Amino acid sequence: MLLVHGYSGAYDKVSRGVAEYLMASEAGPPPVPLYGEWKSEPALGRTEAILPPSDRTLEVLAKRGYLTAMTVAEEEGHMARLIKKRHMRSMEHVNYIFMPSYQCNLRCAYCFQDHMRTKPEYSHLLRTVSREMLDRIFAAMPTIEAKHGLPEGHGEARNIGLFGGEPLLARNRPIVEYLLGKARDMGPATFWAVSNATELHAFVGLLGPDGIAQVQITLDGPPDEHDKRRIRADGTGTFEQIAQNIDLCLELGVRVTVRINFDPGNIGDAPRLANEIVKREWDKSPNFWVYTAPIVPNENHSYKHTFGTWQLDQAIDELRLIHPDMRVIGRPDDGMQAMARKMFDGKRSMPNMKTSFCGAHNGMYIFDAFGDIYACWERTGDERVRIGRVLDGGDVEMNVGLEKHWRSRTPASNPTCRKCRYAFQCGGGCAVLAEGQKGKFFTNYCDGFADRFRHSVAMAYQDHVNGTETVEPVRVCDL
Amino acid sequence: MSDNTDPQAGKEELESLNADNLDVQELDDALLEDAAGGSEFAREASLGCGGFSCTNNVC
Repeated sequence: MLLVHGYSGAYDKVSRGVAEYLMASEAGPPPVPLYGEWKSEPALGRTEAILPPSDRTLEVLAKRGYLTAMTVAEEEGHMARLIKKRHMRSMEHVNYIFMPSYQCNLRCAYCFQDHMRTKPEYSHLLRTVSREMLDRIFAAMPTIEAKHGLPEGHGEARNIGLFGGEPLLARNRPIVEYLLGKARDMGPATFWAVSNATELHAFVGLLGPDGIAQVQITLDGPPDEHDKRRIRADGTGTFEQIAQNIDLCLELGVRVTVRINFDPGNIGDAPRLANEIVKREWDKSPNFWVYTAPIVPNENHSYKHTFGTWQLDQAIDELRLIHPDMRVIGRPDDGMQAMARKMFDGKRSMPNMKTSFCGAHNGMYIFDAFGDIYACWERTGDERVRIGRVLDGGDVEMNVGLEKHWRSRTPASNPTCRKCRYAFQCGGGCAVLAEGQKGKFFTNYCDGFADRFRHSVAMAYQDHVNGTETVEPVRVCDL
Repeated sequence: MSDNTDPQAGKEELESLNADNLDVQELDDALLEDAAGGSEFAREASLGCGGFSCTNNVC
């Protein structure tokens, strides 16, 4: 059996006798959250007397954290301290995202920003960032970086993302070009974008390994299904235009990550999209990767009509059994599986221990066209939730309370995650989804994580034993 | 890889699959230092928007 220790990061293979000894030695049953979706842990298989392992094995089990002299409360406090300490360390890096405009040329039914384009009271948000505002924002960067312990002239490449709205609208090319130039003037930088790819052809010269090096592009199914979902304001479809621009990006050496948003209504079309990808030979490019994500509930999509991430993992697994081309479509948790596989293959010694779910809780700064700074791209376009703003001359005014609110959400900041043995692997789940589901920011959002983690590690080990070849997924959000 | 054999049962009891020298008593320091991957940890822990799942209907 495989053991994974929740906070030491140990991965071990043990005999069934050792596993049963540990399970029988637990101080109590795994804690049940006040709410959430924790699944039951594997049960102890027998009730007769269980003999302890050898002294040497007991010693190793203690050294790797499986046996402890701490009480449950002491160990909870110990893990919380580790999380906080490492979270502070995670603050040493800064990531920037620019939203040149909230405007978009598409009208996807599930878009969380749809109101910005369709309700007149939000029309003031649709302006495009000016050169003057970009000058201000770049002038503010040394102040922001100093907050994270980075001295001026640090030389570390800045990680700069473009998001929107649609950041790569053809009419925005001049300002995007100016933005890239400003960044380069300040030092080394890497660029990526989340784009609907309908107007990427207008960015030739800016796209490529030395420019916008990676683009995430969404396809929501084969052409007929995609063209019902990702539509222009006039209702026309976009698949063919996007496909041409994927070809263009691959020719230019841009890494293309295709994201597919699935719900029960379009998962059945996944094999046809896989066929399309194979037919267009995108999968033959080392710069091409496809991953999937569930559409999450919002005012247009109820829980009944959406998947959880674990359900989507399983749905894709089932389709892969029947449709060989489905190999080109990644499961949401392929990254988690790939990381475990690296450890089993001896390519890394420790797992990625997450002290928060995403960059919103450590070093991510999102700038909009108004110079407002946000922590999370789900919470933009409303100055009441901004964590700060850039003033004339590049001075930075932070909202200390809101900044602390966002940057302090870790698994140690709520009582449910503090008791969870998966906390360091999960990071506590998405704050926005937690708030949407439970009305609280500082709480857990499990999204079937326990099942997903156990399955990913087990599959990784099986692949390791079988010597199965794997391709490591690379996504824009892993930059 | 370590190999721990129970002399009584005569079969393998525990095989460490990563970080052979891991000691939970030293986590506070060791895992935060470069020698044990601290720098890599800091970079990974600060990944842009999600690390493994941008969850919402963003794009």
